[in-house]
Amino acid sequence: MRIRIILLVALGLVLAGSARAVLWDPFSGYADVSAYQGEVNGEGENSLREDYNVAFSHKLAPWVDLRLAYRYFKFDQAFDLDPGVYRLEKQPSGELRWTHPNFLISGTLMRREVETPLQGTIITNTTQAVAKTRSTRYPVLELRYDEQHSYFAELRNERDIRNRRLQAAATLDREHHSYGYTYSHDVSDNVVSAQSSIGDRHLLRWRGQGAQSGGRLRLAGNYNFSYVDQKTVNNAGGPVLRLLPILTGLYRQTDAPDLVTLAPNAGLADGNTNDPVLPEIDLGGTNENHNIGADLASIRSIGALYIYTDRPSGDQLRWEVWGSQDNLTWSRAVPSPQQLFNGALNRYELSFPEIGYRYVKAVNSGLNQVGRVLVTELQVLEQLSDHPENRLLAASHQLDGRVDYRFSQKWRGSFDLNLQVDENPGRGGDRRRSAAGARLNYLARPTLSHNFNWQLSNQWYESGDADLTENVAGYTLAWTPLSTLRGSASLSDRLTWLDGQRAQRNTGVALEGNTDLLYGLALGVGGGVSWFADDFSGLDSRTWNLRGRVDAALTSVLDVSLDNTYFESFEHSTDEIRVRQSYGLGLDWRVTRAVFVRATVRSTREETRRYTVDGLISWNVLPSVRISVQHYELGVDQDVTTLRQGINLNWELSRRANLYLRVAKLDLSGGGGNRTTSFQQGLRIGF
Amino acid sequence: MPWEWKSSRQAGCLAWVLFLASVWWSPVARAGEQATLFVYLEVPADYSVPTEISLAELLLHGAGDPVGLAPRQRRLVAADLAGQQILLAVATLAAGHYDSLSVVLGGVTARSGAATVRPPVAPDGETFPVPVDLRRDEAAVISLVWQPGPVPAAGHKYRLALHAATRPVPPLGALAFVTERESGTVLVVDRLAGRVVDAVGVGPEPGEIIYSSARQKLYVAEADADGIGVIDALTLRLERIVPLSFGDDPDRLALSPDQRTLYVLNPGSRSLVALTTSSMQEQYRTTVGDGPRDLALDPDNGNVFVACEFEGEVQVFTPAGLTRRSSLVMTPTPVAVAVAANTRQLYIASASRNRIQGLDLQDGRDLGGQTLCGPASYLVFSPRSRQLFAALPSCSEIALLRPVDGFEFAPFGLPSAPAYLTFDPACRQLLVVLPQSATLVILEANRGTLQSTVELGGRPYAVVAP
Repeated sequence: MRIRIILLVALGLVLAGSARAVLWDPFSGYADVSAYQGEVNGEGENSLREDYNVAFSHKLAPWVDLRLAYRYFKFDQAFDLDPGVYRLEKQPSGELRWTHPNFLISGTLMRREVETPLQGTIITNTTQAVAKTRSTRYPVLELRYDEQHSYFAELRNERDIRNRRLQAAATLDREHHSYGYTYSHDVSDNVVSAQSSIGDRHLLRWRGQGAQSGGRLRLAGNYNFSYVDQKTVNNAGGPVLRLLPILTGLYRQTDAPDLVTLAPNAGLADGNTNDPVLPEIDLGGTNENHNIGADLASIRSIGALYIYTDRPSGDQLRWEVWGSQDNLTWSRAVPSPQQLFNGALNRYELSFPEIGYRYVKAVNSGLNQVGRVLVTELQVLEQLSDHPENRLLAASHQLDGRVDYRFSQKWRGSFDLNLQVDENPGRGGDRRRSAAGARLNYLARPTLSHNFNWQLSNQWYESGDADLTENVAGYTLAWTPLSTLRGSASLSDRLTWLDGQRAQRNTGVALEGNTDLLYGLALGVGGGVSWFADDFSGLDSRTWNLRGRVDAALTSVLDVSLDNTYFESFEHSTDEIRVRQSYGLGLDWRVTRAVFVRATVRSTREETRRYTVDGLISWNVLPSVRISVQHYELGVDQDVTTLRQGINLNWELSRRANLYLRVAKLDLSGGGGNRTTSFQQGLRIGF
Repeated sequence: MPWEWKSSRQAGCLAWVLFLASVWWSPVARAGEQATLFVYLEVPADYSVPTEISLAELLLHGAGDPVGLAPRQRRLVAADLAGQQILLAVATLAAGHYDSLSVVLGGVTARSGAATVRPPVAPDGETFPVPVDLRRDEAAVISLVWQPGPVPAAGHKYRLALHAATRPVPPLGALAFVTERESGTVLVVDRLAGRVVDAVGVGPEPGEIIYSSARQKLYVAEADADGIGVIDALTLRLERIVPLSFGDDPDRLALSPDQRTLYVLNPGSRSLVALTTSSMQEQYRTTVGDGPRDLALDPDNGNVFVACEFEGEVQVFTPAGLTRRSSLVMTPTPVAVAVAANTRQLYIASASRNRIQGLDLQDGRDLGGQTLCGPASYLVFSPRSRQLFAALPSCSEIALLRPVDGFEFAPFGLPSAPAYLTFDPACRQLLVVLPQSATLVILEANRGTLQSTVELGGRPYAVVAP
């Protein structure tokens, strides 16, 4: 029966596509139906995907357009062992647009219903209204209102987020100057976080540029001013919390949490609270000693941790909070945080008095009454205020100027000056920054040029972080003695001071040359040495590298390229040598006018060996039949972490209908993921 | 609930309705439907006689009255064009079938031995078969080959040796795709031969274009339509335009490392949208800072970096949910961002400063900055040479940098201001869009040697090489 149904759909679509028709003018859209048979880790999986879209466009008056659209998408999956799942989306939308030569007014309404067996129905209603002038002789004015309301149809009291924004803007562009002003008023009500916020923001900007003395003197300037007034209220009466940025998630399972280096785990901080992280972290039953942590990049004040799970979990599980400054030695910061499992959001909420660490982790213990619970995400929160209300007032001024002067055909110079003042940016008090830079270019001969550049930048904080000063000087010599030979030499010196004390020095030299040895045979070589010294940590290292590249056109249709980079770093204090080496091999072969073969192999060896293999064969069998074969492989040490292979066949039945077949293999088992083999066939028609 | 008879029956019924409807309404082109035609001319490198012709008129013949095409160049010198392709004319025409092209010459100058001769030309021109179907909102390319032949005997008229090239479109691996804003097309370029071979109509003001190797689709940001155009890379057909919200003006695109999510940056509504590439459904939408200009992805964790020029910061969003993770206030007026995949370094270019700033994404360390001869408009990192390539429009050059060490290498000079650049997958060719001269230049990536200049016309914007 199923095959017959697919054939029925296929036949209808082929015939419709073959008709080469342009449908009734006001209607447009597409239909896309595809079937999929696959195997995931040995378990059979079948799916049918239907995607239909119909839009109706009508001109109500010479300048007034109406557009109505309806989109239906359904994805059904059936498995050999598990019950099937589906995802159903319905998306009606309407838009009324008045496009007058002098102004534009538009209103849009859109509703989106997404239904899945796991989450039920999520509804998102979007409202937009825009009014905008179009004449550029006068300032262009724009008024815009956006509202987005998302809620779960079955759990509206627990999951309901409404964001509203009113924005007014004015911009004026003249020949050499542009001015802009933007005001925005944002209101957000979030039942999930139990927080509401109201914010006003003003942004003023100017940009100008001009040329004098017949283009020899060029001037440019820029000024930005912004002012923010934001109030956040915790409707539940607790402290106001703010999500902290996580540099990377960290994880390891160990019963010695005080002395351990946690390994990076990107999935813990990818924002995805639905899908379990890989490799899986199972909190169920007696699975204890999971160290789930985060690197916050710098020492931050932490007031809460949220650990998301893929399903409801037990409330008997106990948590401890640990902190570290180096991801090696950890101290128990909060032995017994206040904790609860939020069943509506599937997350453990651990709250505690503020602690200050760069690395933070939660460690579980005790019996979980649920047998299998997988972690999906970790969130770290900063306590903005211990009252239920917090108000932030911040302003920023930023001024940039640039002068560029061509003294003669041989000499050219430029000077930059930048100033920035941030009043109460939210952390560390006021912040002031300045930078000055100069650049001088001397073209000694058409084949030889010298570039000098210098930059001095400062950053001062009212409190908190250390003041930073940086001085950079550089020189580049570019030499092209022959049309087939080209080289350059670079010198660079960077000095950094923290709170007036010299902190770091980085000095380096690099040479690079490229030449055509023979017709079709190009050679590139390069190398460099650099010295790095950190006066605070006592780190002192020397690094050198060598690179070589060969590009050979072996025949008029076959090109081969090779490259190799050797990088060695020597740390004086520990006598430690680190080596990184990478190789690359590329091949482009145009076998015939209709067949193209490309292959690339790239390997990098450092602490681990990492390589990629990328291949493509594309073949235009007939003008309407095309095939492509692809292979992609990413490996780390002995494991192939990603293997993607596919054959695609596309048969163009008519200009608007085509049949496609795809055989694909995706193997992520080396990295803890699934191994999938699939066969997909589909038909697509647009009208 | 596994898939059911009911929904499949609905699908079947809808397909039949489509079929009946398409049969009912006739396939003829209607009045007011328009399409774009590009006419290219090339001269083989082994042409036989040095010749110069003056073009008076080009007329395209179809079912109705002949349509005049305004030549972009009237004086054509064979020696200057040898081995090259030039854009002879671009026109927006009524959709329909056209079968021939008349070329009216104003005069001919040829060389016969040491003598220069000016044979007479046919006053009504000569007609050549160039069958082409132009469909509503689509685009097509006619590629003409001119082989200057022997000089006619005295008293005989000059015969223009012209024919339409019948070479097929090369396979996907040899192609590059360039968005052209004025005509609303994606031009298909044979990047090895340096020729335009086809064109796909996508609608006015296309922005960035990006290629998914996993799905073999090209995605085009369409500002005027407030949508994303999906082009099948194998058939070179526009499959659909996925609508976003009104006023989005999508401009920049990025694919997640697993190519399952397409991120769209919308300067019009100051928003970032995530679409699934399997269904092109909108998954997440979030507001970004004022003046969004560019986006880049961290290949390790999928974090999305958005450069917000007027906000003066690079905002960081999680790949799932598009939750704002942090804001990097490192350099004012950021307009371009790039991530070095193998070393996880983020580079940020400022519009108001001649400077590129670096950040180590592994430990959050500020890597310092690099001063340039002008502000950079676009950045791309070459994993092969481990160099950052920056387009500097005010200096008409590409700067080559290794910002971590503070090194700047000899730049690649260009004939006009670059706006966008990309590499071929093997990083052997550098493809640079020059909007002022309406060309795409293809450079050898190591030395910057010019391999070919491709004339595109209009306002080319972005390029991708699958």
